[in-house]
Amino acid sequence: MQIKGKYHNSKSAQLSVATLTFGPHFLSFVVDELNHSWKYSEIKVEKFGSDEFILRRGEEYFCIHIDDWENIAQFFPKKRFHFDYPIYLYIGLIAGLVSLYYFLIPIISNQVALMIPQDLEESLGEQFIAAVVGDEEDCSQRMRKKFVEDLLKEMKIREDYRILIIDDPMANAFAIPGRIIAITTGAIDIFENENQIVGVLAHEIQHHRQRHHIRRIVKMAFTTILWNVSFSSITGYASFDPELLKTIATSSYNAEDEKEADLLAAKMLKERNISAQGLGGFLEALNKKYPSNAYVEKIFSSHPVTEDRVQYLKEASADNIQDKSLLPKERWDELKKGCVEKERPL
Amino acid sequence: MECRHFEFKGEGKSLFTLVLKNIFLTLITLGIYYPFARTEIRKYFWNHLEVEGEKFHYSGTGWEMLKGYSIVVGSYLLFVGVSTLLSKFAPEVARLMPLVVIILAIYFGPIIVIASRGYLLSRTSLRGVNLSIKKEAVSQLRIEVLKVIFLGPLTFGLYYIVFFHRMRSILFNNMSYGSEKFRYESDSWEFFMKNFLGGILSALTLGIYSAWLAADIMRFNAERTYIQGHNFSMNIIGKEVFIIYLKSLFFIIITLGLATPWVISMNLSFYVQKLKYNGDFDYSAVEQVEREKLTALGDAFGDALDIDLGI
Repeated sequence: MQIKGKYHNSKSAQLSVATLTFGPHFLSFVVDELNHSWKYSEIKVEKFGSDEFILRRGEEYFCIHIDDWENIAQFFPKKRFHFDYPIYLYIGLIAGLVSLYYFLIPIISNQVALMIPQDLEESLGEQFIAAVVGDEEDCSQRMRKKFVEDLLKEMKIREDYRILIIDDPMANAFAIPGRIIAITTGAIDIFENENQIVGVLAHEIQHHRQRHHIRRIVKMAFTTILWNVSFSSITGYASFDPELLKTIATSSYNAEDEKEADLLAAKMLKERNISAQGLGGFLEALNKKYPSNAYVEKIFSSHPVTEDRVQYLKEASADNIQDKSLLPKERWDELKKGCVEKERPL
Repeated sequence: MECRHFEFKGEGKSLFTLVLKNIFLTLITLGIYYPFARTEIRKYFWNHLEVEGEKFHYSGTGWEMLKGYSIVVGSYLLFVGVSTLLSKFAPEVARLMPLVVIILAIYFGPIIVIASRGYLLSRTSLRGVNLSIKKEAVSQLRIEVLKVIFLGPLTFGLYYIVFFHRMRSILFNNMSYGSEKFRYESDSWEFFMKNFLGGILSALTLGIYSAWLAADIMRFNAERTYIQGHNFSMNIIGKEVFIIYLKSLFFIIITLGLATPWVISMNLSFYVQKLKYNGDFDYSAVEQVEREKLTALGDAFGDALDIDLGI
């Protein structure tokens, strides 16, 4: 059996094309008028790109076209190349990864989250407050905080929550570990009525009750591990930022938590005979002020698409339309107006 | 005068198979396969990169990498252990730990960068002859690190542009292909001005100009890199970079990331085919030189500390 190959001596970059003769025990060839013979047991075979393979002995090697492999495979009975894997292998691996992401990670995360003690959660909350919130509250913050605290009492919430009013023009409200609910001044500017605050509070309370933040931290940790395993070996070769994929991957988990908090909040308010329409109303007001593209929102946002949220919240609270207020109207006017600190005498 | 063209012949499908295999094996071995996965990926990229029909060859092994990563994990555990013990029994000394970390970073950072690059190059060959980097690059880089520590904050970060240019200069001026040395001849001021003005224009155009800046920098760097007296060139314009970036983003988003291997192959094929060597390279003049015995330790540290040269 004879085939042609490119010979590299690894001493210089010059290469020679030689004819290789495959005998029963040796591979022999002539380069620079010198005869060479290699025992098959000394030769290592490796794939080289998509169209060649290498026969190597120490530093010297031959590059041979892949089409010739079939002719010489009998001399290397232990070597197998996988040029193409069967389709079921791809499907099986993708299905495995999808089920890991959609089923196993949430189940494991929920179990792990239950094991995390409340003390740890509280210390995380303290760290957040120390890093983000200043020590002193102004007059408006104190008044608005009192309003929300009184509202919680009227809602007959059994747990004690600490309220934080954060001076930030961006409208937001969020649950912080350690039974803390934060509302920004930007959100207060957007609230159109008391029901909307009640809806937002009920939503954040459900985040706490379901321990979403802890579950989210654990899920993020597992997703990051899966992410690193999947992409870290190839990210260096990408000209785009692969963090984008991580954002997409984690946003769907968050969106599920948000939907759960929305529906449980509506249920809780209904049970207490309080209007559950406020949260949907707030979301509509928010969307009016910051309109977003539903498709982009679906992929990147940590929350479900606003239109969908408003729709399912309307359905969940359709049989519970109330317009009674929990606190006197003057308190609401004060909340919206804020207050100015009186100057202290020098 | 002839030109030498480069080509990347990898395909999305084969890269996708490799990535899937790597994910599967890394997960079932609880991460132990990761060094092997990294090696397989490197092998894939180098073995599909060609100059005039001749492929680069990557000979690094997963076992070398595994050894490197084991030492990294051991060092990390040792560091955490010592820090914990100090904070418990000698809190005064523990307060000095950040300073110790800075000193260690200044001393070992350049070693890690050069050792990481050195390992990669020492395992990469073309026509049987290896690439390499001289150890002297470490001391040169250390001086640049010290400079950037002081000048970076003083210049509100602007000196970092010069630092990246100097780093590239050090790496290429110490790099060889067998007996043939690379040269990178360019002016830091020119590089700085390009980046500075390009950065302002990118900000003003909400990032759109960054594609034109990237093309400009690629052309700039290629034209100033020499071997055997001839330089490289990159026949690329901003519009092309912008289009390929948009295409990549589009495919990634609509496939929720599944198209990543295809996108990477598409990007590499695009950029590599734009690269040219402007001369008739004389392979007969290239002799193999004695290789330095580098381990994968620097490479493993570089990966663990996420030290990306971006060069």
